[in-house]
Amino acid sequence: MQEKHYPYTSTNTDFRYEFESISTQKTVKKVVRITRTDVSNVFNLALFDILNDGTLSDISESRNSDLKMVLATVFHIINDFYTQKPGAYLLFRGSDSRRHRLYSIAIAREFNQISERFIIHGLKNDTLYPYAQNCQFDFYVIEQKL
Amino acid sequence: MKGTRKVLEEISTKEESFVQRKLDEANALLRRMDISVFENKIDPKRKNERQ
Repeated sequence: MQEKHYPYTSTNTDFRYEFESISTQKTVKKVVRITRTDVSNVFNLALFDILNDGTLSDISESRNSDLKMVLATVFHIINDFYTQKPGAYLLFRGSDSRRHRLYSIAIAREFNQISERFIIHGLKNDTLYPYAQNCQFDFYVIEQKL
Repeated sequence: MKGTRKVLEEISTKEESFVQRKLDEANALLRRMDISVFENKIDPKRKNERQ
């Protein structure tokens, strides 16, 4: 990933990462949590904001005009995760249709770069498919290229 | 200082319940789908973890 990204801090014992999305208008604190699911070797990725009043949100739109850089940061974090959990699968999706669509567009746009290191699958109607740009998936599944 | 700690604890509690909700959604999906698609990568020693 050569894309510009934000620096992040982590507590690798529980895969909690933090970074700040910064624009001239505002700074938004973002948190990535990667947690183990009931299926071993499958993890869930949650990305959310910590708002100024201390509440958490994965539905607020930061509107900080830096989605590309935020996603690049998330993929750097995923890369860090894979140094500790090679061979794992990561599930993620946007929390609402608008955000999910934004992620889909960003993944499609950056697919060539992302696919240098990761294999992206899509889940639709509970079935796993290879990623296809024009398909709307319910979840994305990331796998590291070994 | 006490107030600050309380606020931090509240944020931490909210975060944990938030992450748990997201995890529940993922687990619900995994219960519905055929998880054998992941099995080629699953460590055989941990295969029975879900039961």
